[in-house]
Amino acid sequence: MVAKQLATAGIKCVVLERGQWPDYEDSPNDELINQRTHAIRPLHYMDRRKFVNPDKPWLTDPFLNAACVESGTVTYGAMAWRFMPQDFKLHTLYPHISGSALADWPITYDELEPFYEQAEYEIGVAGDQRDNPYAPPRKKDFPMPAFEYNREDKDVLIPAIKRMGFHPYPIPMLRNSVRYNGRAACLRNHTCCGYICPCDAKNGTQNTVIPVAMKTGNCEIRTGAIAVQIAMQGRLAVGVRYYDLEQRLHYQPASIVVSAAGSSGSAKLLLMSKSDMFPNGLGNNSDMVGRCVNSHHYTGAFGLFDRDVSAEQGPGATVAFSDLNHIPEKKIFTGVLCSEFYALPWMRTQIRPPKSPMWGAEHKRFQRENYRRILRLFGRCRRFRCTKPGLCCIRRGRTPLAYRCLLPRGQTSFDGGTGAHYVQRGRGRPEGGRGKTDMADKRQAKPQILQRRRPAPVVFLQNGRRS
Amino acid sequence: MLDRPSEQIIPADDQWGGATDAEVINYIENWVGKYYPEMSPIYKRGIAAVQKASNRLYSKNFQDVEFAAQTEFLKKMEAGLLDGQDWTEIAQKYFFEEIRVRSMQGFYGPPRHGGNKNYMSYKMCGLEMPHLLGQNRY
Repeated sequence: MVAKQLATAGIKCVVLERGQWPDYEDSPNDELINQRTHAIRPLHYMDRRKFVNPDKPWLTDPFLNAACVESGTVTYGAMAWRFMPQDFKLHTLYPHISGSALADWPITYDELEPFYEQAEYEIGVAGDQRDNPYAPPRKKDFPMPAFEYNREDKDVLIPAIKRMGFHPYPIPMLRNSVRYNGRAACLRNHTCCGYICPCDAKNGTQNTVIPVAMKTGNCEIRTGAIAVQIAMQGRLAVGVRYYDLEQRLHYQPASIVVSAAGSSGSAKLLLMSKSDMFPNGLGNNSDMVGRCVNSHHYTGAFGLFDRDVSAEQGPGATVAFSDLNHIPEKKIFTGVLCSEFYALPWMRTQIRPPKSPMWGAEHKRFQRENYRRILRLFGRCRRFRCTKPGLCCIRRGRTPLAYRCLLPRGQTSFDGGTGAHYVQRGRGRPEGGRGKTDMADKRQAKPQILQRRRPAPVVFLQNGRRS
Repeated sequence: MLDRPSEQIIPADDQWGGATDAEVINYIENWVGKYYPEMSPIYKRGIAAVQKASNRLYSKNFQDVEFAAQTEFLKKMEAGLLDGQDWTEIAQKYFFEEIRVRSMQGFYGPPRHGGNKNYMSYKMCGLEMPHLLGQNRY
C-alpha cells in the first residue's frame, strides 16, 4: 500500500520481498498439501505465511508474516474486518484486567476510517453491513456486493442466529463477488482458504496495489530479499541490509525506510537493527518494541444434524454475527462468530461424537452418513498478553546469517470467564448444548454436539495440530 | 502387509469398498517413499513388531490372521495392551496411530497421491465433482 502511494506520487522505491511471486502451479487444490493442512510434503514450500523451507533452513520462521506478493494474502480466507471504534480504546473500556498489555490507541476509528475505505476500494472488498447493528460507521458502501448466503446459512444458521436474538450478516470478503478491477469474479469453488485462487479472484497486495505501483516505473519489487537490519546514521535511517536466497549480504541505501512487515515482522526487524544510539534495537530504548502484541484464539463447535446441511457450493464462510464482540458492562469482549469454509472429507475424519470409534466400520458409516450433516460455527476471540508480554529475538542455526526468529515471551492470558469461554457457554453457545438447542430448527431433532473445545491459553489445537 | 491393517481401519461394506479397493497402500508407500523417506526405518520396525506380536498370539503373520482376530489385535494395539516385549523398538500405540492416520489420508484424501482410487470416498460422501468449477486439476 505504501509502495503504491509513493510510486504514484513519483517517488522511486524498492520493495524488499522475502517471498517469490505466487505460482498457481504450486497450489494443486489438494487438502493434504496446502497452507492449512500439513499432511504431506512439500507442505513447507507451500506454507506461505511461515516461510519454512527445508532446503534453505535460514528462511524458517515460526511466525506468520505478511509480505507483499507471496504471503498469507495469497492463500488466506480473505475476511476483511475493520476494527470497531471500541477497539481503539480497550484499556479505557476494560480497565479491570490487571497486568494486561491492553492500551488505548493514539488514534481513533474516525481518523482511520478514510484509509479503511481507500484500502477496501483499492484492494477490493465484497460486503454488506446493513444487517449488522454493531458495524463500525462507514461513509461509503463496499465496492462490491456481498457474497450470497449458501444453503447452510439459509436453512440453519441464519434462522437460528435470529432466534437467539442476534444479527447475522454476510462476512466482508477480499474476494471478487463480481468482476472487479479487471479480474474475474469468484468461481465459488470448494478449495479456497489455504489455496491460491485459480481465477485470481482473491484480492491481496500481489494482484492489486503492487501491480499499480510497478506500472508507474517507480517501484521495483526485489523478491527473495530478507531484510535483516535497518542501517542508521545517528537518528536517521539511511538504508537496509538484506540477504538474498543465496545468503549474500546486500545493502540498499534509502532516504526513507518503511518497515511494513506485519506486527511481528516489523518488531523483529527493529529488534535486529541495533546501533550506537539504539543498542537494544531501533526505537527500543524504552523496551517496548514487540510488547503489547495481540493475537486471537479460535473457538467454536461442530454440530451434527439429522439432514444434509452442508453448503452445495464453496467456499463457505458466508455468515457472521458480532453480538458478542463488545459488552463492556459485562466485562466481555470476544470477537465474531462465523460459518466455516468448506471442508473436504479428510478434514472431517477426526470429527466424531465423544467416545466414538476413530476407525473401523462404524467410523466409516458415520463418515458416509454424516459428512454432509455436519456444520461448524467458529470465531476468533481476542487474547492478550500480560505480565511482561512481548517478543524476543533469537538466533537459529550456525550459518553466517543465523536468521533470527521471534518467540513469544511472557504469559498469554484469557479474559478469564468471559471472552472465548463466554462464547462456549450459556448465551454464546450457538451450537446448542446444555439446556438450549437454539441452533437447530425446533421442528427437527436437536443437533448433537460433536466437539466443544476449550479455547487453549496459548494455541488452539485442532485435530491434534496447532493451528 | 500394511494393506491389511489399513483395511481394518477402513473396511469394505455392502455399498462401498474399503482401503484395499481404494488402493490406500499406494498412498502409504508414496508417503513413506516419496514424501517422508526418513520414516522408512520407523515403518520397518513397526511392521516387524506387528509380525512378532502376531506370531506370538496366533503363530501366523498378521496378513494370514482371520479378519475378526486382526480387529481384536488392532484394538489391543491401539490401547497399548499387546505384549510389550515385542515392542521394544517402537511404541505400539504410536505405530497404530501412524497407520490409522495414513489410512485416513489415503482413503479420504485426494487421489493424486495414490489412494482414493476413482474418487471412491468422495463419491461415498456425496461430494460434488469437480471441486473446482470449470476445471478439475486432479
